[in-house]
Amino acid sequence: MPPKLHPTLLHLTKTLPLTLPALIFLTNHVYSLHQIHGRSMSPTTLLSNDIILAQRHHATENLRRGQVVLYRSPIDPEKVAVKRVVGLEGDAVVTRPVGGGGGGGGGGGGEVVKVDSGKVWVEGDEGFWSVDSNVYGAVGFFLSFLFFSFPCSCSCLFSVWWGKEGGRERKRLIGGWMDG
Amino acid sequence: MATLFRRLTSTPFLRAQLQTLTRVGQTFFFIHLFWEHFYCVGAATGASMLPTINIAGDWIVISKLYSRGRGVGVGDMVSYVRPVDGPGVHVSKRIIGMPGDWVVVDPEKGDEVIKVSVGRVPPGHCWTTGDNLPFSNDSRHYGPVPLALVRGKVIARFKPMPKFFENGLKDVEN
Repeated sequence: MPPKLHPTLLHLTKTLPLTLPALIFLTNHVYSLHQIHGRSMSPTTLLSNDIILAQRHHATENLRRGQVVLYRSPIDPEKVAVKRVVGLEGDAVVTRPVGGGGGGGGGGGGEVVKVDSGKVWVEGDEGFWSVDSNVYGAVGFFLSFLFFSFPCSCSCLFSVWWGKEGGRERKRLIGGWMDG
Repeated sequence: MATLFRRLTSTPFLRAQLQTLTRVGQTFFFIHLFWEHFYCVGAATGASMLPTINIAGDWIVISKLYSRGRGVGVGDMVSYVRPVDGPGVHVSKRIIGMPGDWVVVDPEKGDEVIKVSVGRVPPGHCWTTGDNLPFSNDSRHYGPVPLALVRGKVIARFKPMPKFFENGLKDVEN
């Protein structure tokens, strides 16, 4: 005779497979949670191990400079990168020297690059540890399903809940970016 | 009338309605999951993949198990989101080069022949062209395609004349 399951557990085994597709839809198309690894956005915006809420629907609409976005890395499609939008299509951007920390090789920088149409220039806040547009150039914006922005209030909410410290201060910094 | 109203607002009736709605939702999300992450069928149009895919009227099966370029190789036909001219345009092309490969950019542009250039496919990208080179808008025009944009591998023609597509490149045994 098979062991008897607890009624709640039995109910869960029935309903979970039926609700799982809806949950996957939610995290693929509406909102998703991500944990930050690495230090390319420290210490101003996100620390390592922060958990953020990302908005996936209509993510590429109304992209602004200063907004923090998530996208699939052009050099490794399995990785999701989080960076800040520095230049929109048509902007001219002065490149930053590539830091040695991110494995970009170091050096370079100081060139003026025009961002092609359909692309955005993204950079990490921490130049030394960041692998960003200075390494692989502007990122295609029509990788549209790859791009998602998150509302900064939500990110801070999660920083306050989950992060180590400084949620309030980070909000002020992002606010300064947004306004300035 | 009053009895009808009472029946329609009775708890068992409403509960049955709710259950039906839940089942409809579950079915929708299940089909969506299958369509997005396993297999999907779509109509392919355009002259770029002649003679493999006809100009119009062909329906192809795309395996989403190969999304983001997982497990694809040179010679496979893939469907991806075109990296230029707006989001949501899906095209099917054949992979010519994977990251690190050297590719020859087709020298023919219109009638004039420009100089042959050779390029290396950057990491995380692939080089694609259509089978019908003169009538194809592909990597020769917009450069290497990020593998993250690959939706899946085109594995078969669904109609007319169902047929599995095989990679034409085979290893040669000595």
